[in-house]
Amino acid sequence: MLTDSLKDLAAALERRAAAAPGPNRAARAERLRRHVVDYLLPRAASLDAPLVVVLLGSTGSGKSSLFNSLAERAISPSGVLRPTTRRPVVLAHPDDAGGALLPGLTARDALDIRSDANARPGLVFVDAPDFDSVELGNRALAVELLEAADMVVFVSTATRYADQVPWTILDRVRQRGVPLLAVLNRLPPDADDAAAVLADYRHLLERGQLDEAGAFGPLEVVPVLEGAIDPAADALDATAVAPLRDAFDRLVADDAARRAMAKRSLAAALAGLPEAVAEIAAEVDDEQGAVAELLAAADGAYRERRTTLGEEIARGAFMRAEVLRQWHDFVGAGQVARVLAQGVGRIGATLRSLVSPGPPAPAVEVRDAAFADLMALATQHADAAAQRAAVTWAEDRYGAAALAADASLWGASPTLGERLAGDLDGWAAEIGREIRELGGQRRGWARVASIGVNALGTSAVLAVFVHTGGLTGAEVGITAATAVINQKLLEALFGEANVAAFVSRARGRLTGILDGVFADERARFDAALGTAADPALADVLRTAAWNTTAAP
Amino acid sequence: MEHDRGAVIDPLEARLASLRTAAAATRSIQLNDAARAAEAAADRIDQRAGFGGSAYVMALAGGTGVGKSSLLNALAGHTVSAVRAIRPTTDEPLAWLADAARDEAAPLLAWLGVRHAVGHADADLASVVILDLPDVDSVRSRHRATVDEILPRIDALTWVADPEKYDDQRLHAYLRSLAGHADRMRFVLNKADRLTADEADALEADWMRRLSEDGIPDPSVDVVSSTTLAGIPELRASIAQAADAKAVRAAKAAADLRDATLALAAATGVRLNARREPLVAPERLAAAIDASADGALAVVDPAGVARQVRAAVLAGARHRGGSLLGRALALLAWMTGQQRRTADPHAYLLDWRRRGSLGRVLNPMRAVLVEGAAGVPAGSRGAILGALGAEAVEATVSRTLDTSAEEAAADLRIPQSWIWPVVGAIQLAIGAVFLLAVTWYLTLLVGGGQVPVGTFDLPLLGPVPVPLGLLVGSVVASALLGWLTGLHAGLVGRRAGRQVAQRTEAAVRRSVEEVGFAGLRRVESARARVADALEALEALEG
Repeated sequence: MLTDSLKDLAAALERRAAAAPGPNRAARAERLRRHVVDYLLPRAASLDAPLVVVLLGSTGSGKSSLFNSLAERAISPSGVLRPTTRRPVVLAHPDDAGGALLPGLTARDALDIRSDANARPGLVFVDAPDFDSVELGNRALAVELLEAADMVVFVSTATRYADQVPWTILDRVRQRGVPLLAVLNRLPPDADDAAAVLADYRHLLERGQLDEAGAFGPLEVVPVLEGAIDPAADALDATAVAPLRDAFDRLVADDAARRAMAKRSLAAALAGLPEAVAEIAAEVDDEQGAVAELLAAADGAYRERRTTLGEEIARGAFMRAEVLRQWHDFVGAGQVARVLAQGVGRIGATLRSLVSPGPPAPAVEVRDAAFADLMALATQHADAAAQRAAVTWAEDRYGAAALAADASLWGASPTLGERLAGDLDGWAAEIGREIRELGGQRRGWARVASIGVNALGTSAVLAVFVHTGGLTGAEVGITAATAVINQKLLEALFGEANVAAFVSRARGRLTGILDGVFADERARFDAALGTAADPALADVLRTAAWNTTAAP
Repeated sequence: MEHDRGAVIDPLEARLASLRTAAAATRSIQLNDAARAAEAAADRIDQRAGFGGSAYVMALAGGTGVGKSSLLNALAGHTVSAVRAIRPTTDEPLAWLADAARDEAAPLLAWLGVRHAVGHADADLASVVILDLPDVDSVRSRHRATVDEILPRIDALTWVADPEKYDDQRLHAYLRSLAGHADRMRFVLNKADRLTADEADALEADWMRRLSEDGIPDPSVDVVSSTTLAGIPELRASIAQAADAKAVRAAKAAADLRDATLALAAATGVRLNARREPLVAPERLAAAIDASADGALAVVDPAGVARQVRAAVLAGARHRGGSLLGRALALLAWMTGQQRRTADPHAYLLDWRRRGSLGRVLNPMRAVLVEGAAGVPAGSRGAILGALGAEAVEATVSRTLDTSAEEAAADLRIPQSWIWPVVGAIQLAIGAVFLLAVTWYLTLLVGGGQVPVGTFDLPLLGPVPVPLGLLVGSVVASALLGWLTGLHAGLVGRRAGRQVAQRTEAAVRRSVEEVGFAGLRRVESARARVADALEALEALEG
């Protein structure tokens, strides 16, 4: 069904409008969506609804005067102060002024609808605002009315006809294929000049491929001389615009002709749809290409830094010496030495520990310091990855826009520390649980308890963080010395195999935590591009447009 | 020509110089686009001043069909510029100027890119060159490009509009961007013959309202008709009267300078009301430097270095002034590698990478740089961060710490004392005595109490036999001496360690500040040049 395909297309365009980067692209999608919703859908539902004739033109071109002469009375006030018409005036016969008229605009109460028993039944005239004055809101309304029109009367003047802005509007008229009537106002009184201007305008219209768009055969330009006005009606001179009035009167008289006009307008609009959709889809493709590159750059930066972080952790040398020394002093003396001592040495150690019980376990301090060191390392690499990605992004239009919107992308996220601290606390809690479990399984629980689960937890954390890195204790300083003695302590309590498995499990969980953190850090970059990163949208749009042509 | 530039333009020189300095500084911090625009503006001002002459250039600008050429013809009283009904008419700019000034103005017109000129003999308008420009709004976008190219070089502008086009978005977009030149702009509403007097008044008021919305308060608006010539004599008189060429040109140069300086200020985030405000508040920066330096010290670990120095001094004392036993222990420590681990400050210094990560050094640094970059507009941020060295900071800091460590290691001497070899000699002597005494008792032991060589009276020192005295005495003396040497070496070692630690700490702090924050200092000094230019501007404008 045509209406179903049109509804699909409208939905896709709505998605596009919401996701488009920049107001211009969003406006383009929104404009086409309005065309589908406000014109194509109602017109596809009924060819007998009244024809909407929109008067479009520059500010000061005399749209309102023409409107009044078509209405045969002063309805839309004209004036010297620009722009005159801000709220579009709609002239409709009472039979036609029902609710279905221009649904989108009526819903927003943007129209000034005048119901008039003398108006032409079956035709609804709209005096649109200008599209080139300082009032940018006027342009939006004019463009929206163009999208909803069954016919367009385009008014220009001898001064205006070569302006650039009207031709961008006329280009959309051509693409839409809406039946067109042209009026050239304010022609100079000199007959030769007038003829020259008229010929030049026709030439430009031909070059703009608008001659085919004429509502009644090839496009004819209705000339109106400067000063040809009827001040009483605030209107253009009736005889000057007689060709238009006659054409509309004929349409009113002939239901079939009106229906044919509606059908033609609809067919042309449907035919113009794929081109308009293709333009938007091409923009989407273009964005997708850029977005894919940006995402790859961010991904590469984070991947590289995650790898470096992993290597530095594996090297086991990122902890501060002063912290390690504290732990080394604790593990090497007192209670712990007693636990570690074997055979006869044990008696001596016991005696020594009675005389000098050694420092109390700095379990919490050392663990927190170790976490702080790891967090500093992770932040360093998250920061560097963000910066690398941002530097690449700053070179790109979309990337620069995303960075401008969220300056925090230049570094690690502000909540990274908090997040990591939480994750590491969870990790430490899991380690504590495993130690209790391991200690319970072996008969050495008393020895475990004598040192303390907290201290052993810290010991396990250090076992993951600090290694000898393959070097022997003789070659390196405090790092390796602490690693060795710490390992010995754990092995003495839990057995070598248990410790190896336990440390490897803890390391695996830590890897998972860091992977998650880096993934979330990178996800900020994905999110910064917004829903623009919807890879299927271009195809959805093209398919929907194609479906409208395929429908019967 | 030089003297022509006169006293009015002279004060400009200083401002121009500070603009150029500011532009160069801006380029040095990689804001190339902003620098290029400022340099182009400075060049333009210089070039314009170089032409001298007695006239200024005024252009008629506006949309197609508003009657720019007709207006020029009306001012001239005859056809100067072709007028046609079909649009757009004028393709290329045309100059209308006094015959007497034609030769003099030729290079100026060439610089403006104006190839067509028509002369007149009107003394009233001798000091103004009037240009008829192409339109700014037609389908011929080349016309607009021509106008955009020539506009910045023109001294004064007359914007022409008509009742149809006076409210056009295109026109007002131009006016808004040129609001800084309002003092040399006038506005002409043409085609008044289409309006009644009341309408003309209402329209003039409406246009003035729009113009003031564009940032042009009190605009000078003339309502004329180039068809009926209404208002033309007044406009002509007004142009002739206002024609102080030097003042116009000086005002134009000043406005250009102002625009260019303000653009530089915007790009570098220098705010007008707080010119000297740094990107990063001093206390914030000091805190970051401290945090970074603390991070670096945690890694380099001067306390650890000091401990190593103390151990090395002790080892040295033991080596030179130790007892026999001491020497044996020292040899053992050396052989097992214990000494290399605990008493080698050089290796310890160089091995800083194994004692932590750069994170603690870099994180506060990067945070401050990113924070600083937030003070410039989003478009400048990438370049500024590049200039701040944010990306390179990892490598730079790592290299700097290497250098600091190497320098500290090179400067590091393990102190020795002349006392120790002396003590060593004494210790050796004591050792010899000890050995003698030991030998005495050993021979007794071997001989089963029998002295193998004849009779020998046991020497006595009072009640104590001499060998026993020597044995005990040598042990006590050696221990005492060893203890004293240790005490002395400890003292020397502690002092040396403290000094090394202090030196290392100072060196690390200095290099972290110097190297890590060098980019920030560079950027701040460039911003200071921009602030100088702003100040020079305001000093002259009062």
